[in-house]
Amino acid sequence: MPDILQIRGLDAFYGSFQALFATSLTVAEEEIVAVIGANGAGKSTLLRSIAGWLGSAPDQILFDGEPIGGQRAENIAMRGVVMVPEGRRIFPSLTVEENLMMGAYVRRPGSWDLERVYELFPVLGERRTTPGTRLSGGQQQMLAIGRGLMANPRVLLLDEISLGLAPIAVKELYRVIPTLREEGMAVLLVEQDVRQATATADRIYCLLRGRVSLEAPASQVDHSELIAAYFGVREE
Amino acid sequence: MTDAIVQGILLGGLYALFAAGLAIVFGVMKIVNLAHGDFIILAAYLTLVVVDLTSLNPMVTVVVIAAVMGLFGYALQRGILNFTLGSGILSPLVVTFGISIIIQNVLLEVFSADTQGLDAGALELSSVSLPFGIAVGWFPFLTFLLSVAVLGGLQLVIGHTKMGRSFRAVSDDEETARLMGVRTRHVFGLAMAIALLVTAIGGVVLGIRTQFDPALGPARLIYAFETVIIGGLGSLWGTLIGGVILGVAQNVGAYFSPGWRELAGHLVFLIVLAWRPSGLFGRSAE
Repeated sequence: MPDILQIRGLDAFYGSFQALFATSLTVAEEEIVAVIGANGAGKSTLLRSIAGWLGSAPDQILFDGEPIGGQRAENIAMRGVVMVPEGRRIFPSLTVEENLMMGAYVRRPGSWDLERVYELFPVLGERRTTPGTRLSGGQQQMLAIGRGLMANPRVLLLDEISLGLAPIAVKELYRVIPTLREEGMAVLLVEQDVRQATATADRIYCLLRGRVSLEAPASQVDHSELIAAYFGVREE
Repeated sequence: MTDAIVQGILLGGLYALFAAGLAIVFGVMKIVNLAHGDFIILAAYLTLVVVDLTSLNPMVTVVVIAAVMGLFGYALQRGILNFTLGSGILSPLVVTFGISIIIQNVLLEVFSADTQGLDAGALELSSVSLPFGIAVGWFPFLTFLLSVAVLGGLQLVIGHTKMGRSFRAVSDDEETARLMGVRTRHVFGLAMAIALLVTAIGGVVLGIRTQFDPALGPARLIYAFETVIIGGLGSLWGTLIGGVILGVAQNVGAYFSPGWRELAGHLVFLIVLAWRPSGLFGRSAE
């Protein structure tokens, strides 16, 4: 499968603080890629740069071979690169259904609609008229993912979807990710839980202080290499 | 006294029209629009020009005035105000303050400081009898119904259309709305257009009810502020109630002494502000 997303030598900054240093990464079509790393390693920064929340040089990020780096977030979303942001960011003034409909704001063609999202997460259908932020944490994360799917993305960026959730809720969320691949979607996810990431992804990247410290197929990750890449120290 | 209260209620409808535009602009863009009152007066002068040219009844021209002010609002937002966003609250304040001064001076230059009025003909003279032996002017009564209809329409648009949904989403979380592909600069333009459209209706009504001159804007801005704060942000019906409370307070004050009109309004406003800072019907601060 050809690469749908290519990150080439990406530098990212918060003011004068540099969070990513010449980071390179690829995601192929219908591939699930996980980015792992410790707090502050630059994982979320990477997704925020791709989604257009943070600036970058045009050809540091290629989507379908075209440079999209530094474009406005709304234009990147319109192209089909859709981020489910960290912390869910549900619109409190909107009901569950209205939140989902915001996801379909740009009306990209595709098979995802309200009916299919409710099929995937039945609890959202049962509570469609509830204000979005009244849902439990796990349900809010379902809503955030459902809202992302409503845009019919070609690449879905998932930022720490397991953050602060009970293991059972996390399991429920990760259940759906392989089905997205069957829809022809590519998924780039950021995850702190290494076990969850390696179980779900085809390939993993590990970030360490803003640099890629390891890249490997998820099935062939060597434990001690991973420890070294994650913490930046060698196991004795 | 009863009469003062009834007149106050009817006046409240007009204040709600003034306030709705201010509330939308603050809700969606987080801009405190200091030129809001001058937009009301601008709409009244615009009506004066159109009536002069066409000799139509001013109430008939309201559709045109609202449309023109709406387009003006979109252009103003896209052309100027969008560039003031994102760097704190000060720059939109300074820029709208500047726009306020510009509008006042342009009106002064073009129309002089003479007071003007709009003549709606027989509409202004006839009265309608309500139960309990109260008679009110047809025009104040009509404007109250118009206000309720406009606010109801606005509520429908904001609550049940794609555009309204995008207003609420952007108001909640602009950054996340952009992830859904919402072009926020365009949405801001639409919000300003809707706000000025409603404001224009208020301006036409004001022009018919009272005499006006170029310096009248800032006081209308104060009334609009007081209405929004009494009613609370986030509820258009709250805005209507806020307008009614302010209108009644002013008219009852004036009933006792003409000098008490403004003072009574301000006092009620201060009491509400001290007692319920988020307004009577506002969402409490999260």
